[in-house]
Amino acid sequence: MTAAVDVRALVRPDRVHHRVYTDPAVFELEIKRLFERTWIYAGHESELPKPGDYIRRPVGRRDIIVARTDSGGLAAFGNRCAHRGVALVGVARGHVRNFECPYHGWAYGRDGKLVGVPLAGGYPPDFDLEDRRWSLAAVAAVASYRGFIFVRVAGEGPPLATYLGPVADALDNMVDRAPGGRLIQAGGRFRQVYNGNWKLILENSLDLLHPPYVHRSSYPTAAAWEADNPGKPVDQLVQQIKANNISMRQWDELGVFGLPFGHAYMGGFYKDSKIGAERTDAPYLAYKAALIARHGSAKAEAILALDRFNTVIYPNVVLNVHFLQLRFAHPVAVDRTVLETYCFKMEGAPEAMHRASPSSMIAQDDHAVFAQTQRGVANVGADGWVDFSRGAGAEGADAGRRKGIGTSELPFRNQFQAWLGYLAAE
Amino acid sequence: MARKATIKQKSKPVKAKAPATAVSRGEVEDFILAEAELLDQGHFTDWLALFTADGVYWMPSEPGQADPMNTASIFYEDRDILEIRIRRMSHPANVAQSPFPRTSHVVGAIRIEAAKNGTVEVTARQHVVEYREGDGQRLFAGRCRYTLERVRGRLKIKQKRFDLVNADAPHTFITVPM
Repeated sequence: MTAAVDVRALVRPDRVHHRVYTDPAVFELEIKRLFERTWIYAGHESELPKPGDYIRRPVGRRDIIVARTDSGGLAAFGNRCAHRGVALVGVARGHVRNFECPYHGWAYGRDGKLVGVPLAGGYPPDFDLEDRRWSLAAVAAVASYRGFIFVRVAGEGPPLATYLGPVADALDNMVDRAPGGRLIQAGGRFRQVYNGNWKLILENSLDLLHPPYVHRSSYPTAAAWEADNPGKPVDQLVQQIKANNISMRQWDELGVFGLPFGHAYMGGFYKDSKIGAERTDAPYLAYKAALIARHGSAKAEAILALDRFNTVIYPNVVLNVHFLQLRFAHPVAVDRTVLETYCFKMEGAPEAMHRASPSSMIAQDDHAVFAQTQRGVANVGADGWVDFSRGAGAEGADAGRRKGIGTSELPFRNQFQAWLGYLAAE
Repeated sequence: MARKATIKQKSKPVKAKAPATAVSRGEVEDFILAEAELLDQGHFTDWLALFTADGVYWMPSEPGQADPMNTASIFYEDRDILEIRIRRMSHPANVAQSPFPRTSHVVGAIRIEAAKNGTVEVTARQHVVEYREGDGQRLFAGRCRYTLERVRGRLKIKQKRFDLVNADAPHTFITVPM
C-alpha cells in the first residue's frame, strides 16, 4: 500500500504542511484512523421513525445502513451480505421486513442477524444461523444524542456524550428551540460537491477573516438593491449577505472557541442586533408564545438568547442552530468533498417558521475559493507550509475552552491538534 | 372553390382541439427560444425583464420535488434575489464567476399543456452545455415547465422550472440560471 507517512512532521502548533490537503496517502490515513475510528454523524431519528425503516450513509469508505429494529432501537451495519459480499440495498432510505440479499436470498432481520438462507440443507452440518459471523458486520458503536445519530465504525473510544462534551450545547439548543421538544428532518438531503479537501469547509465555517474578502461582491450589491427598493421586506438571503459586512472589529467581538476532540464554534451575531432587530412578524411571535408556553418566559428567553452561528462537530459536521441546518462533509478524495445539507423543522412551531434556503450565492464564492486553495496550496516546492498563526499567543481559556478573538485562527490550530492525535495513533 | 372548402373542413377539427386561448404555438416557441438566447448571450437583465413582478425561477434538487420550502433547491429565487444575483455578476470581486461561465442552450419538444384564465402552461426539453475555464464543460439536461402570463399584451414568465434529469446528484455550484 502507501509508504508510511510521518504525520507528526506535517503539523506544527501554528502551521501545517500542504500535504495534509493534497497527499492521497495522508487522505487514506484520515479515512482509516479518523473517519472510521471516531463518532461520525449518521442521520436523524426522524428519518427512520418505524421499525424496518432504514437509511444508508457514507462513513469514511464504508457504506453503512442504520436501521430501526423491532424493539424501536437502532442498529448499524455494513451494507454487505455476509455470504458473497453483495451490497444489500441501493437507495438512500427505505423500509424492509427483512434485509434480503438480491443475489442469493440470504435474509437478515432489522437488527442485522441472519434469519434465513435458501435450501438450508445444502450448507455444511455445522452451519449455524446464530453464529455471529453470519450477521451483517455491525459497526463498533451506534448512539443517538437527542435525535442525532452517530456511529463509530471501528475501534474503541469515549461514549458519544463524552465525545461531544460542551459542543452538545449547540445540539441541545437546536432541539430546545422546538416548542414540541423534538426536531423533524424536513425534506430530503441536498447535496453539492466541491473540488477541494474536506478540511477546507470546516476551516471556512469558523473563519471570520474571510467574509469581507471572499464575499466582497455580495454586500455592495445587496446594499445597492436595498437602497433602490426602500421599504421592501428583507429576505433571509439579503440578511445573510448583510451579515457578511459587519466590521472587522465586530467579527473579532464574536469570538471563536476551541473544544476537546477538535470541536469548535463561533459566537453569533443575532441577539445584539448586529444585522437586525429581533423578528416581530406574526409567525415568529406565535412561535415564541408556544416556546414560552412550554418552558416559561425565563427559560424560553434563555434558549433564544444562545446566539451561535456555526458550530463544528469534528470531524465533519457544521451545525447552524439559528437556521436549523446541518451540513455534513463527506470526504470522497483528497481533492473532492460532497457536502450534504439537511434542514429541520421544530415540532410545535408554525409552518411559516420553516423555510429551507436554496443554495446561496454566498456559499458559491466559498466553494470557488476551496477549489482555488486546492489548486494553489501545493503550487510550491516540497517545503510549502500553510500558516495558522493569527491570534496564536493571544489565546485565552474559559471553562475548558480555548478562546480567541473572532478573526483568530485558533479553531484550525485546535482542529489540527485533534487531527494529529487521531492520525498519529497506530 | 371545392378545394378551398376541403381545406376549411380539414382545419376545422384542429381548431376545435386547440386550447381556448389567445396564444399561438408560434408565439410561445418564439418567446422560449428568445429567452434561451438571452441567457446564452449573457443578457441577464433583459432575461429578468421577461418575468412577472412575482415571477420565480426554480431548479429543484429532487426529481418531482413538490415543495420548495421543505427541501433546499439548486435555485428557488424570486425577482428580488435574481436581481441581486444578476447585479453581482458584474462585480469585479465575484469569485465564483471569475472567469464567467458560458452556456449554450438547445430547446425542443415545446408543448402547450394547458391554457386558461390568462395563464399558459408550457413544457419543453432543454439541454444546456456550460463551460467555465478551470472547471471544464458540463451538460445539464431535463424538462422545463413554464407558467406564462399575458401582461399588457406580452407574454411573461410567472415561473420557469428546470427539472434536471440528475437533479439529486451532487453538483458543483451552478451559478447561472439556465
